[in-house]
Amino acid sequence: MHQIYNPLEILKNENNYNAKLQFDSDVVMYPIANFYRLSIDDDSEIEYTTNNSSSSSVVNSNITSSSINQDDDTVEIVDDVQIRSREIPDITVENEEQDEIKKKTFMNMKMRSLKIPKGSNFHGFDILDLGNDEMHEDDITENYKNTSLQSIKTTENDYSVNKLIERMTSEGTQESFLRPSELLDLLMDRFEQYENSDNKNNNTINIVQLRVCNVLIHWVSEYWSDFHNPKMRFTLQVFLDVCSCRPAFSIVCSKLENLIYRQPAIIGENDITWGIPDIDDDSATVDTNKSTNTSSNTITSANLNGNSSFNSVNTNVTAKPNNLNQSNRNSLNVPDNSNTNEVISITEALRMTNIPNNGTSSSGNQASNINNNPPNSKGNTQNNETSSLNSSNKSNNLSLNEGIIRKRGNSHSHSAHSSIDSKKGNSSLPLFNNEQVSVSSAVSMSLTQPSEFILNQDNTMIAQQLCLIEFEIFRRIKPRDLLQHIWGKRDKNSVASSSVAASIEHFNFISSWVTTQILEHKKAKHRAKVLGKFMKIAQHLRNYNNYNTLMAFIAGINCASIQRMRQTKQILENRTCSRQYKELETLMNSERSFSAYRLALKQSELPCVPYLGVFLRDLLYIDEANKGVKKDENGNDVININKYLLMGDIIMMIKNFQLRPYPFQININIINAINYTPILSDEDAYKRSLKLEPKIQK
Amino acid sequence: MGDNSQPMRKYKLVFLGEQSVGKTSLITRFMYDTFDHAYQATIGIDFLSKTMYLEDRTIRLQLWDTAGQERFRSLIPSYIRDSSVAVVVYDIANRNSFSNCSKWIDDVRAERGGNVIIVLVGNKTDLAERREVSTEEGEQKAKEFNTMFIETSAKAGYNVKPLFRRIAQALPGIETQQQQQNEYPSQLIDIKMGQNKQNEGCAC
Repeated sequence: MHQIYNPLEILKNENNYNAKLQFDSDVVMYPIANFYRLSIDDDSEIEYTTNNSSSSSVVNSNITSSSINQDDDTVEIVDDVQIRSREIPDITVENEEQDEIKKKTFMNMKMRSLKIPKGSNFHGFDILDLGNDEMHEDDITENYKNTSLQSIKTTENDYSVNKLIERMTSEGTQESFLRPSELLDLLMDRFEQYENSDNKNNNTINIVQLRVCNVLIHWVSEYWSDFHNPKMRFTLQVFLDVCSCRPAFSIVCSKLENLIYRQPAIIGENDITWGIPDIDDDSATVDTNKSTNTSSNTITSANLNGNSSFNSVNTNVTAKPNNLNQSNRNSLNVPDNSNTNEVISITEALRMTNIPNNGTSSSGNQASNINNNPPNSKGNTQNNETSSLNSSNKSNNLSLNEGIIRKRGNSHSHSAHSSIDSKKGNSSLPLFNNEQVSVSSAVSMSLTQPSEFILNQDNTMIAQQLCLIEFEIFRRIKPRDLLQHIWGKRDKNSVASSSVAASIEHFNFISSWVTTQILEHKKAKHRAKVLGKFMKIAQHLRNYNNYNTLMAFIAGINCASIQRMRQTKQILENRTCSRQYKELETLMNSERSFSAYRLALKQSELPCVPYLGVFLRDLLYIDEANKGVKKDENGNDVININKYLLMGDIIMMIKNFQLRPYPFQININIINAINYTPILSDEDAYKRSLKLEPKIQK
Repeated sequence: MGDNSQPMRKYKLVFLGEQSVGKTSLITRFMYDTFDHAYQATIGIDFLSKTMYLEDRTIRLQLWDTAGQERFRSLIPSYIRDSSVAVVVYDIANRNSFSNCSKWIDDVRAERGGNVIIVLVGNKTDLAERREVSTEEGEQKAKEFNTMFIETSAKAGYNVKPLFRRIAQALPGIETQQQQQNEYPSQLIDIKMGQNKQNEGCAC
């Protein structure tokens, strides 16, 4: 019917293509993380071939799942997996709610279609635990062949957006796919292609054009920082102009209008240290904050020929102070997909605790410490850090205070969006990760009190609050952050993705928290009591499908400092909690590539927080194992789209888990007690453990 | 154990080091003798095992990769806990990854004491023009921490097999010390091996 957008054609026209290509690109993520399900082109005929697919007609390829009996390494073939069928519903722009509903339905459909029988792992790949050398090499290749064919077949309809991306550029040292502006141009071209008199006169929308709009809306709303370049925004404005002439596009326009006329996003280091960012045409360097910053501040009124009506909007933009540089892009003006009452209320509840932003001075932190103390802090409201430290250590000869290291959040900074966020009613605050506050307020209250407080709380309640905290952190992880975590590291100068780092920091914190709480007690009996309590909480976490915190608990309980304490452990021997904990350990065991956990996750219903480590590992493996570029049958280099589809699958799974928050009531006292507890470093924990239960000298 | 006919000693090797230093590449290069795209997606590979046929005996190495979970520091000890060998990898073109090796080695020592073979591996020698850590520095650190040392390039396939061969050759020595706590029949070990002396300088 219409012209097929052939990537090969484009590639042939690329002069500078021969350079070696890498895929650090920011842009890659559009197809794989967000757009790749939204096909622009209805009836693409392009046959997609890969290295492995001599025939792409394999539909019912059976994937055998090899699993190995834990005790003896016999290999058994478990069962077959039927092919995933993915119906890709069209997402049309109608209104906010409907769009949202559809998105969710779509997600659910996807999840449902992902439910595959026992024995295969979550992703439709098989679990390869190769304790046995004899079988693996061939099997792996075979299985992967099947897997890749599967994805080819099932994602046939999705190529068109990707095809747009399959144009490559190689620029300087940072070779990768596309700059944002180039992608935008391609999208515009695509839209242009379907312009005809029919459209204009009949007040109809061509489906392809609509999909271009969809992609655009999604892009603009989720990744506004890509549009910091004035030219990009100008293009959008022109596009909006074109659309606004058509009644059929009114919904699109109203959506876009709100999105486009915003303050340009502030580009943090995160954005420019990986991938290929847009840069001002005149500036040759990419890596200076200044250049991007100024570019976002200089609004192109001069460029807006014929768009004078928009000038008024743009001139409102003022220069922003430098300290906003690092603000987390995700919290900037991004409409919140997973908006729920719970989330809002947790935000508000936490706001009430007076957590100041990083930007505030240290004296501000001091002043707010009083309010940050849990209400049970028995009137201990000294602000003087040292004095409160001393006075609170009364009970312990084994002084904790040298070990108080609160490492949380060192590697990321979430804050400094007060000035921007204040404009939005529903902003995401740096709820849990403000290290300054954590440290100072932790220090300013009695060291023993939080743990006493926690000890007296109901296990269910503690588990619920842990879920709320964990989900809130998990929810902030955007597709791009995951990719940045995987790819950004290649460049050693790049900054770790803040949201992923925050989650990992929290994980490590919870582990240390668990350890510290147990070690805080001098008597083995008391330690055993706390240990038992944590084992019970772990069971609750499992019941709530909070695997991330569960994993952190297990890491905390299983650390050397705790495991070596025989006296403590003996007390709990043969207790139910101990037995149940053993089962949890087995569940989260890394053996057979977390096969037990993967199975459990597959059967878990939302709300659920998966253990992030497994996803990161999977992403890394796919990235590492598959080439970004491959040769097609003509010997031309093409993007190995399957790689990105595989990565996209995982990211979509993560997104799905972010959809539903926990419906629990916030108990701010418990959250504070957890969050503001000082923790011991590993070394100090071990020292303390040695003191508590000295090594028996033979 | 499915191999009663020819019993083999199994050893767990854990791969440690910062993100992106090439841990997974080393493993895959060793397993498949290619650098990439020999396989499609290695999801699900938790540990791979490979049989090494030495002159006088056969052993099996189980390779555990911590890739993707490097920053989950509280979890790392559980990976180290029952390993016979820790392969600590850094990127010769990334000084930071080299500096952090001390921390990884400390972790291993804390968990395993002297009861472990540690190999310091400087990977990515193919990036010679971007080298930030000299071979001498690597050797120096290995000496300081009493570990084995080798430079490799998973990409070019340089020194990968020698790495594993050296590990394999160093292994029996350590196992003889572990006999009492080892669940496998000890008479299977060939304790006549002599070459562990020069390779394995660890503090056992």
